Amino acid sequence: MGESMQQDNISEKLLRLAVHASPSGILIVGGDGCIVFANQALLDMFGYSSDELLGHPIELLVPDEDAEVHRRHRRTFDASPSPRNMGGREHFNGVSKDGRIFPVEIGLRPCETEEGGLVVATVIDISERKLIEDRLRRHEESLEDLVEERTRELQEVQLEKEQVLDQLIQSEKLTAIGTLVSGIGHEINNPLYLVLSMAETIRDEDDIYSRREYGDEIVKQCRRIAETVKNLSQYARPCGSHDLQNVDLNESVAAAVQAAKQSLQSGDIEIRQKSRPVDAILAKPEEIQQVLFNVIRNGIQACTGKGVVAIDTFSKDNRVSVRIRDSGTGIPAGNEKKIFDPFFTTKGPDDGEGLGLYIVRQIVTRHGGTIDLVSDCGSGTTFIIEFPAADRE
Amino acid sequence: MHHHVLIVDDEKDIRTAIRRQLSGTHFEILEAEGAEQAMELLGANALTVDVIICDVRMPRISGVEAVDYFRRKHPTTPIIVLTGFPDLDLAVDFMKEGVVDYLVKPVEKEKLVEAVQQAAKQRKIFES
Repeated sequence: MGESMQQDNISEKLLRLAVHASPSGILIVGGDGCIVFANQALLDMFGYSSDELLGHPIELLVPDEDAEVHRRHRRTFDASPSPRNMGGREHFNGVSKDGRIFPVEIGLRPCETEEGGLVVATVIDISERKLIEDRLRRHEESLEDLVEERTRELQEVQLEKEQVLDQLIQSEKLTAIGTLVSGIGHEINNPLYLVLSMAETIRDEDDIYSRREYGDEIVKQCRRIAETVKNLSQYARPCGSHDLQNVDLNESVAAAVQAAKQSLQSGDIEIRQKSRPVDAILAKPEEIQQVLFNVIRNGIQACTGKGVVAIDTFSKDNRVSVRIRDSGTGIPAGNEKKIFDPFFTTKGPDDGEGLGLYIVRQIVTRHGGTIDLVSDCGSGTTFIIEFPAADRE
Repeated sequence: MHHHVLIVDDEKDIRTAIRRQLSGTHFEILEAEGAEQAMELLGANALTVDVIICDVRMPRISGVEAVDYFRRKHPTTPIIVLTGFPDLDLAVDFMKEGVVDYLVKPVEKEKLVEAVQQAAKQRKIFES
């Protein structure tokens, strides 16, 4: 307190001015809790005259419901007095003479004098500030609510998108199956016809030798049919099996090639598979087959007349790749990106809605892989699909 | 006088099965792998082919195109169309083209023999 007290002698008039004209309310409270001094700002703030306040307990200025708490605060403070600056976090309310309750900010400073311990307090009315703070807080809360709501909406949209993508994949698979089925019917009917004709012969003729020979042939043809059906069931398994498995890309390629040969009119097109030993990838096997079947099918359809579709696999740097090359008509420059767009197709209206490569890219991306292509109009297209190798445990 | 049935199908298994099924009849079997071969055989044996049995799904020249050709070049030779897939629209189209029967594989022997014999009768009617 030292230096400011030295100023006393210099100008009491200024001091009086400082106190009485201070825009902040100033109170002095004695050790008994009664008001010994209040400046004009304080008197104006609470609507009292000097006589009405002096000698009264400070709780006069405190709303009834807070009075007990305030007394406790005072006892705590008196027990170990220490300066408390303005701008504290605690909320206090004051009550004016006419009963109006308003929020105040209080600073405290204990002083030791010859008359005993006194507490000098500064008080300011923060009603307006509180109003603004409240409005700001309500605003923040409503913004937070809005953000929360928007986030929830976005999450729902994302979930829906995932579900729609799943449905799209399934529906595209069914379309591909439709293609498969119409071709496979052919694959099943041929051996079935043989079985029928041989069974008829066995039924109608008495030749024992023929019976044995035909019986063997019937068994062979039945096995052929069973194999075809097995391949189809493996392909047709629904998206439900959510478990990722270790998949050998060579096996997937073999299965897709088999399905393609059986179902597509690929008579003039040679399908060559070159497999190198590759790392396993973590994937849903039926989706990988769907991808390969789609790209191989496109390769076959790109070839007019005689052609070759060559597939090879290789592993490098923890990535496993499959390359599908066709000797077809190639993709015109400018379309290379578009072919992956949904519903883009250069085929006729009866040949599918053009979802195949879109689905392929979606599945590949979901598995953490990439798909690229190189195409030369007139000499063919090469698709390169890459997957990350499964972690070795 | 020979009576021939010409089987046009790219699958050897099918041709073998049909041959076996018709082995009890008096027809002799001529086989063609595809439309081009069928046309050659027809050219050489036009008078004696009583019935053509033709598959729908064939590479290169399809059954539809083949039937069209047969009808134009050999309008009096009855055609039985054979398919693995029942397709009502296709059946109607073929019947409009003048195909005498539309059979779905696999065909039982009795039914095939009946169809061939009926077709052969039609041929006699056309000829006379």
